[in-house]
Amino acid sequence: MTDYSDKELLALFRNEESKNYSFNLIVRKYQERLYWHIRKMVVNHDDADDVLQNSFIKIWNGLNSFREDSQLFTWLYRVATNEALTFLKKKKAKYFLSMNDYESHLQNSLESDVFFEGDEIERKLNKALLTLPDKQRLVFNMKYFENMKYDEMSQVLETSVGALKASYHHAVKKIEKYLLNN
Amino acid sequence: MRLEGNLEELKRNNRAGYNVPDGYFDSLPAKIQERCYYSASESSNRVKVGFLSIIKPYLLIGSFMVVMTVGIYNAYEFVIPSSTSNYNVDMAANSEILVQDIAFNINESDLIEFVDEDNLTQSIVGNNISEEAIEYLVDNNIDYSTLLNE
Repeated sequence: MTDYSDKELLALFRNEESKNYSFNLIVRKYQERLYWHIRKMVVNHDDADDVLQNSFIKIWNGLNSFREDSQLFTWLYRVATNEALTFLKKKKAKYFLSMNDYESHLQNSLESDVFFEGDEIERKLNKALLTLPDKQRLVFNMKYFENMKYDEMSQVLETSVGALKASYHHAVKKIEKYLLNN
Repeated sequence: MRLEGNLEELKRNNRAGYNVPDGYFDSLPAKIQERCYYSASESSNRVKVGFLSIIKPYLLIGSFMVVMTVGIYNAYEFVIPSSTSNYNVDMAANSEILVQDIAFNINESDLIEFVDEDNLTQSIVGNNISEEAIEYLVDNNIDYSTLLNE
């Protein structure tokens, strides 16, 4: 597979003849990063698969109107993030879950997940993460696991860098507390 | 335990311990592409049939409402037929009041002016004055000879 830059991929996408080809390349280029980003939020593989596919359908439908005000990567992340957060919100509403029920629901998903192969430390860290509110967990994942810069995160989440730093700091404190108590 | 210092040591990779079924990422692009085509064809079909399917229930409701209204009106007319005759009586009473009102408000000079403007004197000259007109002129002590002279 030829390595195209995002700009080249977008140019190819805007050409009707190479549209499908370029979209296929975009999927191949970003599928893994987006999948892991979504998976850490929704926990379960099947849910992550659904959310990822829906995200790419939205990307397919919206890519023509993408004006390149931001980087393609940032936009894709934003679509996937919104899709994951919407999925979680719907899930909470569907099962009338309170914050505590929601947390234990996600923890049960983690426990029963056949595609979780982490060691005990990773399991504990994930459990600690699931005690965080969704948006704080998102910030933590992006910073800690995905090594994203605050500037990039700020573009994806449309939140100020200061707020993101504060959110990450709070998340770390909470995880620390959880691990010490468990 | 200072977690912020040790946190990096806990991190194995960006997957956080999660995994996927074998070959998942190999088959994913084809699946996504298929769903994209499906969603595109579905949305274009939706545009074609969408208008009719949106309009249809409203048309049905609209025609049902019209039929119901006509039915109820006819049934009401059938059960209470006096409703229109009451209306006619009301109309007759109203026109009577209107005539009285006009008669009350018209003064003599207006009437003479009207007769004059419309050349009604000709009919007077020809002695074709109706009984009512003569009666009116006599009752009001109007000398109709003045009209003839003018």
